[in-house]
Amino acid sequence: MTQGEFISEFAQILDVVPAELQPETELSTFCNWDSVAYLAAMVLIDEGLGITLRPEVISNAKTFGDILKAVDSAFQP
Amino acid sequence: MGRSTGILAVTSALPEKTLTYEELEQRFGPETMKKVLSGSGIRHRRVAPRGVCGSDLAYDAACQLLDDHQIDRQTIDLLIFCTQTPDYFLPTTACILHERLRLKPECASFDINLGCSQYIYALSVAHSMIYAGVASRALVLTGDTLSQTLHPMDRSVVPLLADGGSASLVGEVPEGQGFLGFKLGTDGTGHKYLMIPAGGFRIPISEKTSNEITDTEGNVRTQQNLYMNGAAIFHFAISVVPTTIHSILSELSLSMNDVDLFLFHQANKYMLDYLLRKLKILPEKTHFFIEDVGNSSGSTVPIVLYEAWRAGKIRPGALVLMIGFGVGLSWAATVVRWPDNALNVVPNRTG
Repeated sequence: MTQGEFISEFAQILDVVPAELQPETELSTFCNWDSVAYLAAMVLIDEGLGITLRPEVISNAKTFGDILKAVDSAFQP
Repeated sequence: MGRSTGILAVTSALPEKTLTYEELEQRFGPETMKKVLSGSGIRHRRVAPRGVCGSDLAYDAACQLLDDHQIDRQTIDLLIFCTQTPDYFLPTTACILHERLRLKPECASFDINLGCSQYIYALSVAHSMIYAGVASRALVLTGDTLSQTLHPMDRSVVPLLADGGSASLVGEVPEGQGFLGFKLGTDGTGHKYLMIPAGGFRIPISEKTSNEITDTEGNVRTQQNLYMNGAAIFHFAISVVPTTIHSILSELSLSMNDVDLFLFHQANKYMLDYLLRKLKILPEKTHFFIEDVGNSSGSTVPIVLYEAWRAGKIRPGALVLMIGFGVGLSWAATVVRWPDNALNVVPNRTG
């Protein structure tokens, strides 16, 4: 999965367009960023990137950039 | 010594009352319930009324099992009751069931309280005791009324958790059949992710423990109510379940293709669907029984086993892998070759 595909899939979880997800975007601004979204994000990251993130990494993320930092290793060549 | 043992019969008992999707829509709103359904696959859930205990559900299941299969109660010399909602702190509820079921004095009776993994833990104990010659025929019962531990305005758990009971007969089977192995495990560091904090001896009931707290998502509960960190439990499940399945199969020199049926603790269909994808298990090699009954914790494994058996998915010779995982954090898996001397399946009365 490319980073672009990941951003696109993550945007679907929040029911927003990918362009709304910038590194500095605060996740709390999205009404769909809740405990159900955390599960969907966990599955996306586990299934799509092969990374099993601890749930607090996701729930404590303040910005979308925090999420990208946590999965950065998946996009390294 | 050294007898092969297996499950000879199983049945379930569910409360008649249903807490419906529509009722919870009224309580939590349509948007919340739409998310719950897509996030869990649970539409309705069976709940026992106040005054009905998990032991009552287990008793009903046991009577069904004994009567429908015409089992002589005097041949039962081991009773294990699995529950986390006992009748009392003491005496142990298995002793009360022993009286109600009119079992013989020489029958050993005790509880196991381990939630979602308790059934398979209990099977491992029954197997071990029979294998060692300490017992010969066991009733393994489950029964919980977790719905009665929930705060009615906690939407993180009310739509998910349900009540249920089951009864299984465990006894000697032909050599090489029955239980082929067990894999048990614990991660106590996760104990805080699924607990009822107050009411035991660590935090006794007080005015403070009955104070309502509203969390950041608007869920209301007290320390006397069940609390679940859904994300932590989900993370635990998607990590531990695949590892445990691969581990037990490897130890038994079996492959995923050798298994005819995978039966999972019916926690959450979204999670189960993901586990099937992750483990590359075809849908026809599992069975679901969750949408209209909910997650009855330690009873879901025997209940889905019974339903799969009733649906004709289990015949003598079939290799079945069962796995329970959850509160503790605790997990247990077993691989069973369905025995030739398993009793014929009988439709239950409360399905």
